[in-house]
Amino acid sequence: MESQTLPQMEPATNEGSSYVSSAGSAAVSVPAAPVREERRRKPRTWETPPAPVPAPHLDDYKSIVGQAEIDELRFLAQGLKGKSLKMVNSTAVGGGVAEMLNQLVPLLNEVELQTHWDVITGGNDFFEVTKAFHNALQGSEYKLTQQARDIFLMHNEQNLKRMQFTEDVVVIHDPQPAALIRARQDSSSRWIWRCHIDLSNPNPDVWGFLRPFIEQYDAAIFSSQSFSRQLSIPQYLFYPCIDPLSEKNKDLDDSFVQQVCDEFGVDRSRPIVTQVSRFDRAKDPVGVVQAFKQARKYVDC
Amino acid sequence: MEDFLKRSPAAATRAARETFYFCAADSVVIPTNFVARTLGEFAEGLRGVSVHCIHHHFIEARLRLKLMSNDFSQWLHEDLGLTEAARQLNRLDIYTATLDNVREQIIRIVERALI
Repeated sequence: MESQTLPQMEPATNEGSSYVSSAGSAAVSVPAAPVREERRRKPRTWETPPAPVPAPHLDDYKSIVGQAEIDELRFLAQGLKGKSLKMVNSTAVGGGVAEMLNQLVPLLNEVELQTHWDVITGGNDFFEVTKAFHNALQGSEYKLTQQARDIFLMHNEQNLKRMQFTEDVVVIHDPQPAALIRARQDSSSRWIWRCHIDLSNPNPDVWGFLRPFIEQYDAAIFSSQSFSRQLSIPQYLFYPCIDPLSEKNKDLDDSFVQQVCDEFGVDRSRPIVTQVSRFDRAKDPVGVVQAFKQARKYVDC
Repeated sequence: MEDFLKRSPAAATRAARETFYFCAADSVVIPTNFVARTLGEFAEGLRGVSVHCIHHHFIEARLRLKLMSNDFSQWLHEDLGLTEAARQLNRLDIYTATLDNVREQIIRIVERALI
């Protein structure tokens, strides 16, 4: 990663930092294979993290989107040439935001948008609180205590003192670092809150606590209209997308695919519906099963 | 809508299964590296431009021009005198095809005009 500022590494959270094989993700397979005893073996783990993936380049995507699309991106970026941008999130590895920033930050630098990526630090207490906030904002029951508020604010304050915000645009990802907006000192920089989670049915106490911070930003970005809230600031939509070159979306070696399918008794002669994600309510595994049931009416999968 | 609500006032408060969110969209129009002075260059450009370009000139143009036509047909008709090809392009069904399919169909019509 040439000109990219690498994020500071974090204490491990529960999100994906154990380098469990993605083959451990939920797969909706065909019904009624004879039940075999103890079919699921221990999850594969690596003793050491896999080698870092080389930084992507825009031209890597040419074979997928075409040269014209790449040219358009470069042209659009010309208007922002020389501007600086800071991304801030809560983890350097594990989770969709870190995965996205790992790919996006080098691409932004390639089009001469000086982009830095900072990761907030925090003890286990902070990550327990923010994990609970994360779930509560997506509808889980949660009793917000004064202690949780204090922990959230204290760690945001510590990060705020440690970090510098000299860039033209600061993008804060998700709720964990949301209170960093208090670092904003002048009106020349623009602060944007990028929400990657579903806020359609948030715990009112947690949302009531965070909302005053969010409304100090210049704008918020959501992934879907239905995930957003009514706010006093402009809201923008970045629809969900995938990175076809990310580790998660690359073709796997056929022998490895066969080995996993054999292990779980999955018939490869039929189409397979697979969910590659953490096994988590927020990832809507039930929705995947329902989608499978719908597809099954028309396709022998 | 108002006429319907006058006839059925109770419908005004019927809860929808899903909320309708009104969104606004701003388009950014940018030049590309493709320029056509001949039909051959036009066909070449159609192969090279992105689908956003096809959308801008072929689909969004219908609303912009207010002529029940599109930029491609207008150019073929007015600047190359290819009225039949322009008419064929304008009759393409944009609602039952992807933008890439639309591009292929446009190219096919233009290539036939080239012969």
